[in-house]
Amino acid sequence: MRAVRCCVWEITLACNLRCGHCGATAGRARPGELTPAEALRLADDLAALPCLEVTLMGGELFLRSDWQAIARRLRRQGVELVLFSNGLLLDPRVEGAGERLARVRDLAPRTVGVSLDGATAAVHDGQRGLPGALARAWRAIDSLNEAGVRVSAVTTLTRRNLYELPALARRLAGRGIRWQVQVATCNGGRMDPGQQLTSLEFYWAGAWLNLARQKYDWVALPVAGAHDLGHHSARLGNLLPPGCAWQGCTAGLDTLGIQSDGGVKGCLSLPDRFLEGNVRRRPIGELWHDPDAFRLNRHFRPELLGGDCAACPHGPTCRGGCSDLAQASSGSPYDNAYCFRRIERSWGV
Amino acid sequence: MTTVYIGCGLDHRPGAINLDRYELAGADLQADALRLPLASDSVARVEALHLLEHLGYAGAIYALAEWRRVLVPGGRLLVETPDRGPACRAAAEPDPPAPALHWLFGLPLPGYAHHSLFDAADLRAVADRAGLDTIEIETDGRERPVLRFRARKGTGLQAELLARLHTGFLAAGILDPLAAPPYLADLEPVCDAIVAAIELLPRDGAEACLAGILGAAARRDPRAAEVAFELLIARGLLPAAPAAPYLALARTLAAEAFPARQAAYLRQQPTLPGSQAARLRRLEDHVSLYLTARLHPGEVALDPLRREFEAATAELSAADGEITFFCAGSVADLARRETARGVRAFARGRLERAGGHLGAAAAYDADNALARWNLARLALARGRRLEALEHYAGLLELMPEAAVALSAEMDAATGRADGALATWCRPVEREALP
Repeated sequence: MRAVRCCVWEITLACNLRCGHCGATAGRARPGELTPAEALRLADDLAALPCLEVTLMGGELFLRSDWQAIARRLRRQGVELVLFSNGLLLDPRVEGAGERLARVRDLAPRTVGVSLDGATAAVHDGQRGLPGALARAWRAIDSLNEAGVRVSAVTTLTRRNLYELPALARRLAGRGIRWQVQVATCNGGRMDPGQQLTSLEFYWAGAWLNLARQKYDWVALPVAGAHDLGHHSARLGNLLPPGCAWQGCTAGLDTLGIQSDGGVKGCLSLPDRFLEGNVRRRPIGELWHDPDAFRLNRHFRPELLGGDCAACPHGPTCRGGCSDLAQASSGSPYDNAYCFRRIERSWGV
Repeated sequence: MTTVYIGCGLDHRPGAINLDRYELAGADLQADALRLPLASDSVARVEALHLLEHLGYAGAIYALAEWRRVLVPGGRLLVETPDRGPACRAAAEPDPPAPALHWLFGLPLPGYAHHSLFDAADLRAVADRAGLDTIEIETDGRERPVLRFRARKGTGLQAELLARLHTGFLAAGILDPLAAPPYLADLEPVCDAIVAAIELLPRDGAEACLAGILGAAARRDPRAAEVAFELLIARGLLPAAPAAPYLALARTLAAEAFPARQAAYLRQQPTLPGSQAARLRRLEDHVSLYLTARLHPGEVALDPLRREFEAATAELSAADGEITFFCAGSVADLARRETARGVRAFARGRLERAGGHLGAAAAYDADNALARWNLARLALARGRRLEALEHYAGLLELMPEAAVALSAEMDAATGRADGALATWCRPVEREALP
């Protein structure tokens, strides 16, 4: 039996922002998004997989009117819940935010993720394309905090906000906010290729994160890199959460992504050629337990590795690092230029 | 039948089993109150006077569950602990006498500080979670106000499950409620989910119950699901066959042990710079009492606790500041001298020597930005690009506001603007940083 540890479910692609780095090009709802009845059915099917945790996101999840019904259905069956939002509709100055906040609190999610893409309004608002977005995100974070809901911040790195990390750390430290730093990729999406980090900018991010982990106690600033933030470095320490070691991309192994139209991928970050099917045509239980599905990682063979990854001793377990980032850097999920080890070796370390 | 007197100290009761964790007490049994070396259902009566307040709220639940374990069915418990309300009010008087403060905070000796203070409602709640039935709670004492709490081993299924889950978690080594920060010791939501799942078992069936328990436990610690499944199967509440794959899955998740390893990390001494770590340790007792005050904002008399906490914090940080200032004064001077030497060597093209001086400066004073800046430039000059990036990251961490001012040279270092690299391979001499 194979459990899903983490399912990320985009319940709608409708969004009230048009962020410059959005990999999903969110804005309008997808054609043919799941109906409320289909969504509830999917929630039941997910719980039965079993699935331990579901992250509901968008687009902007609060733009889907039955978000609460879906969340409640999952929660009632013992599924842990994470909500991921841009925070705009949780800003207490927005009409209905108080009621929305009370609903969020009643659902007792493990955490509510809010995107923070900069320390300064110029950078955050610039990346998100909306003046005042940063102030509104912070008001959302503060009101979640006051309501006793655990908040996580997620920062997606681009050329624009890379050097804001130290200032952002100052703002986040000591507030009990878990902070995930991840790298924006350019696999289709709205992202301008010029905004993608160079491999050395990527290394700078790793070097700073490494410093921050030494400087701040985990309790004071629980900051960690996402699965795409470099692996097997000879110079930098562990950037994943304490105690975690990199064990390769988990898409389709214990991670699952679901699009608002019912499309299923091992991970939502992967490009569309990794679509495994649609829950409308095949129930998720059947798809997930099909031994021939999710071949990207389930049917991995070291011979598939390309470039420097083919010769790397970590290849068989690392499988080319984050498949999405690998794909963006080389066109193959098994050949990754965004690799600390590869960068270090190319600079003679 | 036997009486066990837990935490006896030097006050030994004839006829009872006197138990204390410290050898100095010369007790009949030397053991931890959370791990009694006594068989289950073997003791008629447990007494613990002025022990619970030393254990913290989580510790109190686990201790009570353990005491319940050794009691025979119908066995009795007597607990005495300071009465929070009156104790706070006494300590809130202007110039409170030392005994009033000690009644509240405990004694300033290792192991004697108070970590949790109870009122009657708290005691009842804590006892419920440990599967004890409260008989009565009586208040007594004017100068030293106490709660005297009498309870009996609870008999219902819920009481038994709650108690055995707590002792099971403890036996499985999932947590140490005395050492872990309170939020890590909190498996109470998992206990609630398990009890709720068992209640709904007739309605929802075994699969839903198993999935619910696994889901609730796995996020905090999958070993909790393992303990629960084993208990529920042994107790005949869940059939073994459908539970087997869930138990196997719980074990797989537990073997990966992500939450446990994370908890183990957090239990380590904080790896903060020396003086800060020491301060945190010294503040621990005050913090737990401050939390008490925040958890019960209704009790105005808890205000002095807050003041006490703030005064202690201020005092300690002032002392810290003095120590830091005392040491830093001379060390920063050394660092400045080494930086100046390094910059001179760098300007004369003696890169290796420059590296020695600048490295020493950074080691003397990690906050010396000029040294860090020149180390970055020097690494660029020596073609050590990754080292340069690390120094730039460190420099920006020292002064985040310089992000824009430094971006041109960082762009050269990261290959964003490759052509400009040569411009930055020279020392920075000015003291005035961006």
